[in-house]
Amino acid sequence: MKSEQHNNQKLKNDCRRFSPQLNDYVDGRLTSDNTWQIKDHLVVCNACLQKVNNFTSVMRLLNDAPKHETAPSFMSALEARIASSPAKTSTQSRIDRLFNGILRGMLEERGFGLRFTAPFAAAAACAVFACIVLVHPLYTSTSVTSSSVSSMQSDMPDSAVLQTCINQHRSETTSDPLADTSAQLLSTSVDSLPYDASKNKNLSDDDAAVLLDEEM
Amino acid sequence: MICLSLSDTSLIERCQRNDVAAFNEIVGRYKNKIYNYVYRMVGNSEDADDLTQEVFVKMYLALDTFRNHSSLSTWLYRIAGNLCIDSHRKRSRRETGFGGTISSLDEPIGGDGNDDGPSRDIPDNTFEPAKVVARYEMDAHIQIALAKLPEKMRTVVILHDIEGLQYEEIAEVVSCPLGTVKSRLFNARTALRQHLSAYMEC
Repeated sequence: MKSEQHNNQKLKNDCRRFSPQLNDYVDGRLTSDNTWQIKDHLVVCNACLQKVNNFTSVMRLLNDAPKHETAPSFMSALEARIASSPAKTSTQSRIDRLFNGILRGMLEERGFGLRFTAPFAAAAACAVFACIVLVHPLYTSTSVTSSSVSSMQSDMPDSAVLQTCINQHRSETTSDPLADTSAQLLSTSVDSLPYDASKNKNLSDDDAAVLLDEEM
Repeated sequence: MICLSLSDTSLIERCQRNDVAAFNEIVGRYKNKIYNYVYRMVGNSEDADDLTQEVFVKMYLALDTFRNHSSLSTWLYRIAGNLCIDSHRKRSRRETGFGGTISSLDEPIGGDGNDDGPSRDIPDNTFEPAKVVARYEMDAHIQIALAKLPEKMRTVVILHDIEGLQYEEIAEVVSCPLGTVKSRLFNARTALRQHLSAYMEC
C-alpha cells in the first residue's frame, strides 16, 4: 500500500518535471540522458504519452501542409511596385543623389563602401552643428566686448575711460565673469595711472572699493 | 547566374551597390518561403501576394540599414510578421473575424473569369482527382484551425512547424526570450490538436 502511494507520488513529480520538456522531446532538442528519462516516463504515464502523440500528430500535419507559392507574375508586379514606390522617388532619390554623387564617390575612391557613407555624413553634420553652437556665443560676446571697450579709447580722458571700464566690468562680472575682457584693460589703466587721491574723490565708495580690489 | 553560388551576405553587399541581379536572386530565394508564411498568417492569397511584395519593397528601401547582426531570412520573416500584424489590425477595424477567402468557404463556387490562379481555397471537386481534393481539404482545415489561434501563438507554430525555423531563430524574429517561444509553441500545439480533433480522428 505504501509503495503504491510512493509510486503515484513519483509519477506526479515526474509529470510536473517532464511536461514542460515534451515539446523539446518531440523536436529532438534534448540530450540523450534527458531523452531516455522521458522515454522511461512515457512507458508508465499515459497522460504524457497522449500529449506527445498529440504534439507529434499536429507537427506532422503542419509539416505535410501544402506549400503555397507566389504567382508567376510576382516578379514583374514587384518591379513595378518598387519603381512606383513614393519613398524611392522622393526622399530616397534625393539622398541617393547627395550621397552617391558626392560622398560615396569620394569614399569609394579611398576603398570605403556605401555602409560608411551614412555614418560619415552624420558625423560631419554633428561636427558642423557643434562648431556653430560652440563658436557662435564665443564670437558674439568677444566682439561685443571688444567693440564697446575699443570704441571709447581714442578721444576720451583717462578718468572717463576708467569709469567706463569700471561700469562695464561691474555689468559683465554679474552676467558672465569669464567673458569679462574689460578687466584686463582696467588693470592696465589703473597700473599706468599715478595714484591721485583728488581724482579718487570723484569716485563713489563702491568704485573705490573696486579699484582697491584691482590693485590688490 | 553568378549570383546563384553567393551567400546571402554577399548578395546583400551587392544589393547595397545597386546590383539588380543580386536583388532578384534574393527575391527568388525567399519569395516562396515568405509567401507561404504570410499566407498561413493571413489566410488568403490576395493579401498574401500583396504583403509578400511589400516585404521585398521594404527590404529594398531599407537595404542600406541592414547589418549582419541577424541573418537575411530572420530579417525578412520579421518584416513579414510585422506587416501581417499591421494588416490584421487594419482589417480588424474594418470587419470582425478572420475575413478573406476563408469566410467565403460556404459560398457557392463560381468562376470569376480569372485564370491566373485559384479563386477559392477549395476548388470544385467534381473536376479534381480525389487526392488533390484531400490535400485542399487538409489545407483548409489547417488554415481554419490556425486562424483560431491568437496571433502570437500562430506566428510561432507557423515558423516552427511549417517554415522549419529553430527556436533561437524564432526568438530573434519575434523579439522574445527562448522560454516564451517554447511556451507559445506548447500552447499552440495543444490548441491546434483540439481545433483539428474532428478532422484528425475521422
